[in-house]
Amino acid sequence: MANSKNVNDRVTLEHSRLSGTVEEIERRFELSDAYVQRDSLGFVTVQRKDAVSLITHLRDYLGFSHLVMVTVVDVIEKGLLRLVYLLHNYSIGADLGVQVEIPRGEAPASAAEVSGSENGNGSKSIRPGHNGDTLLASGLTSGAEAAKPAYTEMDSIHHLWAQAATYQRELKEMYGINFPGSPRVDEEFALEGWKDVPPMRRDFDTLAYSESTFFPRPGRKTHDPVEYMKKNMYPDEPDGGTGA
Amino acid sequence: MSEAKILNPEDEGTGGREAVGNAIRLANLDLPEEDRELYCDARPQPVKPYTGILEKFANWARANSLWILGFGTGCGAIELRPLMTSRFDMYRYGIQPRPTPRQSGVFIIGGYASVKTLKRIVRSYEQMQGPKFVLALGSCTINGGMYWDSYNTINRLDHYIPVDVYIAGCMPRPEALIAGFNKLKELIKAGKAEGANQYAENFDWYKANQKKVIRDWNMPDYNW
Repeated sequence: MANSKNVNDRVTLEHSRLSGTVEEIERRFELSDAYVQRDSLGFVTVQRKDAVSLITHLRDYLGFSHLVMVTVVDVIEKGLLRLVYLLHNYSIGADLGVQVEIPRGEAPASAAEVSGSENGNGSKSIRPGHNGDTLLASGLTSGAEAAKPAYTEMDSIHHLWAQAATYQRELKEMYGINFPGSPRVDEEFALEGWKDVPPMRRDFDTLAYSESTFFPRPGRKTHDPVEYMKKNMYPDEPDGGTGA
Repeated sequence: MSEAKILNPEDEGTGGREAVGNAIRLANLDLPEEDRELYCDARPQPVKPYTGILEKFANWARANSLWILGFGTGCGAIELRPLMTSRFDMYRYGIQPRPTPRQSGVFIIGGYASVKTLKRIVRSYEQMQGPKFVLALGSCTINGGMYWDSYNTINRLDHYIPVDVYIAGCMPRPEALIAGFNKLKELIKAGKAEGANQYAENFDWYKANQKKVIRDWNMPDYNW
């Protein structure tokens, strides 16, 4: 490359735009990890109990006024969910991701009972009004028992950014993380009438679910790409064109 | 797998065919009790064709006046826009879009249908007046396409509503759509596009399939 700056060079935290920010928050919060991916994007990992305080501090004192997104990674191998709050600072032009690891949690025993009893009596209330009322009532007392099982909980940040409520609603539906107190968090977001494991959890077998639910049309063939290429494109090469 | 095989229209003993024409009313059990009387509880009935030249004339007229329901249900809906433009000009074939199901005769399912959309598809299809026809675009409506193993996307559309013509592709181009329309015209003129009657005759089978995937069925059993 004629270009003097090699793009593969890792920017270090100390020389990035985020160095000041990370220095500042390290004095107040206990970070278990801090790194930058590029000059304008870095991540810090913080304890669950400090997360909302850190995000509030970033927003109110350090200029991270924009919530880009809230997402989660299902780290099933370690039995935890890694929440990522991505914040943007307009004055330094950089994103900072706040990572929080929370336990995945166990499927609540009540989940099966709830769906079973609804199927049994045959006259469930399905109007949104009815549903909402019962949810509200149960939400006040126990919190965890809603129409869809929530496996685990995290503090809501809807008071910092109103739009966070939408992300949190989606996270509850897709990953089973409850955010108590978040507006409309118990209402359905994209799935209607879902009673299974939250579909974005990695222990949910989407193929098996699809096959048992959606009437697969027979005759569908799937090729393993590696085997298919070995056979059809590189039959003469011992490594099958993989270069291994 | 095994569960899906139980519901097959070719099998003997499906309730759909036996119930044709009898006076069983729809129960609308999924509606709140006070709302049930507000909705129609009649089943759809098959319509007998006219005899001889009358039916031929009617079919010729139907084939030359295809009004599309303007409900873009998937990514393939984007291929309907160029059809209206001067380049493809679907109006020369007597095809035009209509805003409501009540005025439309052709329903184009534009590709993948999530369960949430399928609910609206069923509702819109039932509200259309017969004779009505369904064009299904793309591999997604045929066998799920690239969403075949998705938790929320149906695999084959013809288990939920009758499909007259499938147009393969991902996505099919406007030319393919016009070819599909011409095929549909042939079928209509030959008296073979009997989707609405098929739906009425196998109503229980279609309903069972629909209710199997649409878990929050909070609408009347027949949306008329």
